[in-house]
Amino acid sequence: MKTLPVYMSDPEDKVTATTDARFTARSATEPLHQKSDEVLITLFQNGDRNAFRALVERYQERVRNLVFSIFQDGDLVNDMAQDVFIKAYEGLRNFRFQSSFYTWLYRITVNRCRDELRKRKVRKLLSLQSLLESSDKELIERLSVEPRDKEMQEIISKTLQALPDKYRIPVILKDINGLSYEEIAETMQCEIGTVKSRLSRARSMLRKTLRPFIEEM
Amino acid sequence: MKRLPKRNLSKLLTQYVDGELSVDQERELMEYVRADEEAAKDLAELRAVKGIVAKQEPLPPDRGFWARLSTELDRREGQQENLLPFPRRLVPVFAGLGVVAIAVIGFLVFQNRIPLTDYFSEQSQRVQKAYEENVLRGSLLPVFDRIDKNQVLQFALFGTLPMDASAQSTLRVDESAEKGYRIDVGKPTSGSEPPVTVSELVREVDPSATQLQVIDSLLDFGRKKIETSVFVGSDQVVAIDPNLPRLNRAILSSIAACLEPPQRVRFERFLQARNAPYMLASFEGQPEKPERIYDVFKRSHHPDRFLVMTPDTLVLAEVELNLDSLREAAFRLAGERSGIQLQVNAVLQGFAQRRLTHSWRFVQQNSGFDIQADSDVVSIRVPSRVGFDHTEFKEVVVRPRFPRIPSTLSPKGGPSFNIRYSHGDSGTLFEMQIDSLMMRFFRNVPRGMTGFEDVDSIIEMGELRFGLPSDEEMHDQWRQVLRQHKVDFDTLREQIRKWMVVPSEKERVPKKRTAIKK
Repeated sequence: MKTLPVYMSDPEDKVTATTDARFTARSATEPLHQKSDEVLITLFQNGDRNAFRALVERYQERVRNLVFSIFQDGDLVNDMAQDVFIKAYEGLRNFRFQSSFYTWLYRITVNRCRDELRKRKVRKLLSLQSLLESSDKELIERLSVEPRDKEMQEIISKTLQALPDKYRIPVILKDINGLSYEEIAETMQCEIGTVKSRLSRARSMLRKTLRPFIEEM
Repeated sequence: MKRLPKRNLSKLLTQYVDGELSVDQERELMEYVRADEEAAKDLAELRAVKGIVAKQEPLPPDRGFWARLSTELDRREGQQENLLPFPRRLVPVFAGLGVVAIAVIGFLVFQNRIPLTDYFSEQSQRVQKAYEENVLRGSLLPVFDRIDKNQVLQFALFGTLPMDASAQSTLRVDESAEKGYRIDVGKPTSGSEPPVTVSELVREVDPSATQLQVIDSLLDFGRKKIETSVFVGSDQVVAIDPNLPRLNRAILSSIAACLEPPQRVRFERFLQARNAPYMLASFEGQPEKPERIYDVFKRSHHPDRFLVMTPDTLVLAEVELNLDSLREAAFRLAGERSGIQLQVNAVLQGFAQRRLTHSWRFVQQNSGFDIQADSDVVSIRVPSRVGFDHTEFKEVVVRPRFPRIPSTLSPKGGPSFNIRYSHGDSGTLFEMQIDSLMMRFFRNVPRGMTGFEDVDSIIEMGELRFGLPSDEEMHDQWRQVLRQHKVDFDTLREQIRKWMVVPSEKERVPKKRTAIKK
């Protein structure tokens, strides 16, 4: 452990911080947006709110797009993303660097989305508008789309939306956000084997629906 | 190459597309795919699917995201800070100080536990001693030393005893599920109960010689209990046994326990005819042996503490009684009964004035007793744990009679039925007449409502319009009674539908009567 002078984004705010090897003398002089997640977190934990701003600006679009991919609802995105970053702000002081920041942030996002999905499910049940999601047959019916009348974007959106949550989220994390299986497992707090099975099953469902477009392509 | 199961192949292809296979695994899988046309097709489709999904266009960036988030964070932090009388960062310090303070206080209390316990015990004993030595000093006289068995039976039925010859004040014991056991001392209530005699009971129940002996003995026991339950002292003190409110039910339960089932039915009729506040809820079971009845009755009632009222206070105090000397004193003071009454009145008046002008509390905390007083009556609520256990005779259930709510709509004629609504140990008896019920029902049917499919609809309306309680047991009774009186629901429903379209209010009355077949 060593004690270093840490320069905040405002040069007048000079504090002394105790940090470890993640924090180097070089990083102290870099602009915030060039610093690594770990350094920004350390700065934030030492009281630099601008470090949190840098983290938000780095990840806000990924979080917003992840939320959008899951819900396909533009109205919801900003509120949900804001909730996610508020939670991150509250929890970041106790962040122990046991996982990468973005996996941790994705986990918060996915958990927040799950909460929302649960609420929506209850509302659906109450309004008697839900469709049964149990059998493949019904699922395929739900997945069926009218290719001639829809733009590709809408088709993808509808197709993804029709997948049950437990299959949809890993597909989004993998194909849209590019997470590895290990990171998906960490984000969703499940085993890698579960991720493999769910992805395989999800792709199989998607293939059945998207086959007409695949052939066109 | 050995053919892979479809499920395994699908998993492997997915992992390949996602770039999650090792180099060796990839090589093996590619060999397999080259040899299997279907696998190659699957792989192509999977790649295409992945490509399609990944094509999702990203959202346009949100430039104002941080500004909004920052405002929200400031707002939240401001809220949290305003709640605390010190900076937030000092929360752990103050929490730690709080824990230390609690630990220090706890340690000090623990160190001084013996002196503290002694102090509270001493205070309590001092108060108790003051009452027992000073307040209760002087002679005590039993208030009810001259009651006969008829009065005991009267007490058993109604829980009331006149405290003087002119019945200017009365002692009343009462119980109900909501209010618990109660002792009221004061002016008699307006609706005085009819006089009851033992000979009337004997005529109605027709007991055998043995049963008569048991009843006689029970009334005698009861007399002795009452005699030793209420005293008045020369220093304006009234002492009451807190077990008294259960005595009347104990007498009734014991009498019922010695009877045969048909005699119990007659006993219930006897109680009902006099509108007694107790009823026999079951009649089955063999009569109990006299020895057991005496045993249960005797061991149930051992007063060790009395409620002692003065014009100022009420305490629970130990009173040592020497019944022989009490009787002797009572005999000597036979000519001073009016003096006893004066004492009682003085206590009650003092209590009432105290109540009206001061706030006071029961000296012994957590005793479960509660007291209310006005200018007419002092009412003491007694915790239910004291007194006779009336569940001793399991076959014979005596419980508070349901208050009867008579139908006020159509007092004469027509079939009627009772709806008994139980709640715990008490309940209500609704007396309803089919005609009046139906009339009222029809009158209250909202225009346009046609969903009366069965008796449940009627019941729902009953709940809705008459405020009757909702209860499965009650619903069953409704069904039974309505069926007994042959209320034809098809006719009824048709009638309601016809009636719905008749605009005139006057036309409703004759029509609704036709709905009921008698």
